[in-house]
Amino acid sequence: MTVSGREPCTKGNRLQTTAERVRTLTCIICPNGCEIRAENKAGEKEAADWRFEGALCPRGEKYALQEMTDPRRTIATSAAVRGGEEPLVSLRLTEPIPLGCVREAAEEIHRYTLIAPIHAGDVVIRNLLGLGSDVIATRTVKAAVKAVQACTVREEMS
Amino acid sequence: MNEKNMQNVRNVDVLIVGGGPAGLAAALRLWEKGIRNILLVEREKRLGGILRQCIHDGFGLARFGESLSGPEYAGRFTEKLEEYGIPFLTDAAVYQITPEKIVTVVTKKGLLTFQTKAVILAMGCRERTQGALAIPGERPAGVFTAGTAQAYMNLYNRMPAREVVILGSGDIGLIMARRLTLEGAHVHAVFEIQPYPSGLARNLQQCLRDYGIPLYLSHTVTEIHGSSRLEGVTVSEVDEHLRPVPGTEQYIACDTLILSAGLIPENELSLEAGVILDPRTKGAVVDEHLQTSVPGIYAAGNVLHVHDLADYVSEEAELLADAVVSGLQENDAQEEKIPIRAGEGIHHTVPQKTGGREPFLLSFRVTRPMQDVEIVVRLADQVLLRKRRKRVVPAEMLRFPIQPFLNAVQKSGEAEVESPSEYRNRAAQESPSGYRNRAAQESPSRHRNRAAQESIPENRNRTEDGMCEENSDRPAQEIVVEIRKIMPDEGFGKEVE
Ligand SMILES: Cc1cc2nc3c(=O)[nH]c(=O)nc-3n(C[C@H](O)[C@H](O)[C@H](O)COP(=O)(O)OP(=O)(O)OC[C@H]3O[C@@H](n4cnc5c(N)ncnc54)[C@H](O)[C@@H]3O)c2cc1C
Ligand code: SF4
Repeated sequence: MTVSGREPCTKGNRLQTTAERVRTLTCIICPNGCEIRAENKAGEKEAADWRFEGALCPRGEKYALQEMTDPRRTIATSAAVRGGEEPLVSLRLTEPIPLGCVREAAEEIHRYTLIAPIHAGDVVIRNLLGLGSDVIATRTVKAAVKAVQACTVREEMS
Repeated sequence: MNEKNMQNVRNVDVLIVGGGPAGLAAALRLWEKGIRNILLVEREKRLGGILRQCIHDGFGLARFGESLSGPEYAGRFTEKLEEYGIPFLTDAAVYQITPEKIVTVVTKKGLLTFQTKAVILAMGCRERTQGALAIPGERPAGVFTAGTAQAYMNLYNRMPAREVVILGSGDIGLIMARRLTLEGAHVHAVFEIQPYPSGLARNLQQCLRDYGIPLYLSHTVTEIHGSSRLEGVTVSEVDEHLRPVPGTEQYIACDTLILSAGLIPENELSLEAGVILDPRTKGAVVDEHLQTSVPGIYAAGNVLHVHDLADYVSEEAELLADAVVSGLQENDAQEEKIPIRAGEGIHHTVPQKTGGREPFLLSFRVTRPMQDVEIVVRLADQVLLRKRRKRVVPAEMLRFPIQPFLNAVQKSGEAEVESPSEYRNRAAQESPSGYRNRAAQESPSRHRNRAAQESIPENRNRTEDGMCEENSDRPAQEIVVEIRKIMPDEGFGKEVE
């Protein structure tokens, strides 16, 4: 397991004051995909300052507030694997990260090659880009040959 | 089949074809209900079905309350399968199913033959390619389906593209637009020939808008350039008849064209077994137990109708397994079924018929996007379901439980008890003349069948507008699912789901 050694990503476009007063969002929490109209009354980012319309459930309003003040996403990607039954392992983040950091996060993950065996749920990178989210394996890749070393992670390009 | 082969025939109670979410959920539920002589057959090296290549998250929200990737979702089921010790074969393809439910399986070591009591079809679907690209002639390298691109990247770790154009706004294409972008490719745009997107709204947001990838509706690819390798495409706007509008052509240089035109159930095996297919779903015609036209052959998951959520696939397969269990125990003769018709605004329904005596889940899709609508399911005058929705789109499969509307199955000798509404319904369908006397002499099941047949003339006179139904090839009794726009003066109350 490796702690990502790079500078924390600061591209999370955290909102201090809202330039934008009205916006229509698509809720991505569930497949209903409600269209939520978000309107800011006072120009501040507290929940009380917002009015949301169109969400079919409370999760939608929570999402809309988050989206208007600090949009976040998780990503799924993969990394190459050496010595495994499969040539790669699929990965995902444990916590959403700022939308503005998503591309950089993917690039960072692609710098790694992992060595089999890897188990589903293994943390392969801790605290990615200092964003408080771990990268975990989402499937198990067994070692192709018997005598491969135990689960280790190599940082290739550093 | 000759003598020698007969000796090698093994007996299994239930054989499950396909180890995707549908097959896995069915196997687990059967096992949990005590059906142990079962076998799951999967043609790939590993279990999990198409989910193995769907590495993005968003699976399991409905079922596990958390957002899992496809492999993790499948893993929850395969782990349990192994824990229970449920027998399965991989690298083994079902090659034939006969109407007598004899199943032939091809394995690396040769053919295996099974005599079964029930077969569960869970073969999933494949991607639509025909018609996706209405351009004649050779295809240069670099033109492939979204699923193929997904497999390259997520199973074989090969990056198939640099400069990409996507044709079709199906969910897999949208998800691949994001994946390709994060892997460093440049996705120019997604073009959709219809005036509305075919993928889910959340995927338009999180796969396209998040990355600034434009979506052009009413556009299609009209020319492909390049001889051995793709060099570019010409896209054009289309009119309301989906015909390209001259003068709107635009050239885009690219090395990859990804087709995402939707999925189609894989039913070659079903056809050979004598299963009747629904031309709308391209899957089997089933009753409320998800039993096909061949008794003892059942279907669930994408082989039955294309789902957008794996969670619903698993649930459907579990309901199927429950029905198989009761089918094995009771082995009752097929009762008369009432057809379910997709009416105004509805593309198809699953199931397509029901006995009406047990609750079931009705799934359907609408034909076009609509707002402020009312969905009505009715049997002649009787409303079985009425629901209002703010917004419906073809991309989303709608599902509603339907309660029994005829009296529940009676054990012979027991008195029939009907609820007042059932009584009213039945009274409306029956002619009063001497029917009760006759009914008393008949067994309950005969009685039921008869009730369905005898209601013909009565029903004809009972269409909403009081007109006599002219259409003679329509069955006397049918359930109609329809959707209509609510007029502004009707208001749009709080009933929204
Ligand atoms: C390319 C592609 C990508 C998809 N991506 C998504 C997505 O991102 N998100 C989502 O929610 N849904 C996605 N879907 C839909 C997805 O298929 C369903 O959600 C779900 O996986 C359907 O489950 P299933 O068990 O019915 O079918 P599948 O998962 O397709 O499983 C069917 C299994 O049957 C096996 N099989 C077929 N024929 C035979 C035979 N003759 N003998 C033995 N085995 C056989 C197949 O090998 C396969 O493993 C995708 C579908 C496709 C085709
Ligand atoms: S608001 Fe609620 S119902 Fe609507 S998409 Fe979001 S989570 Fe789903």
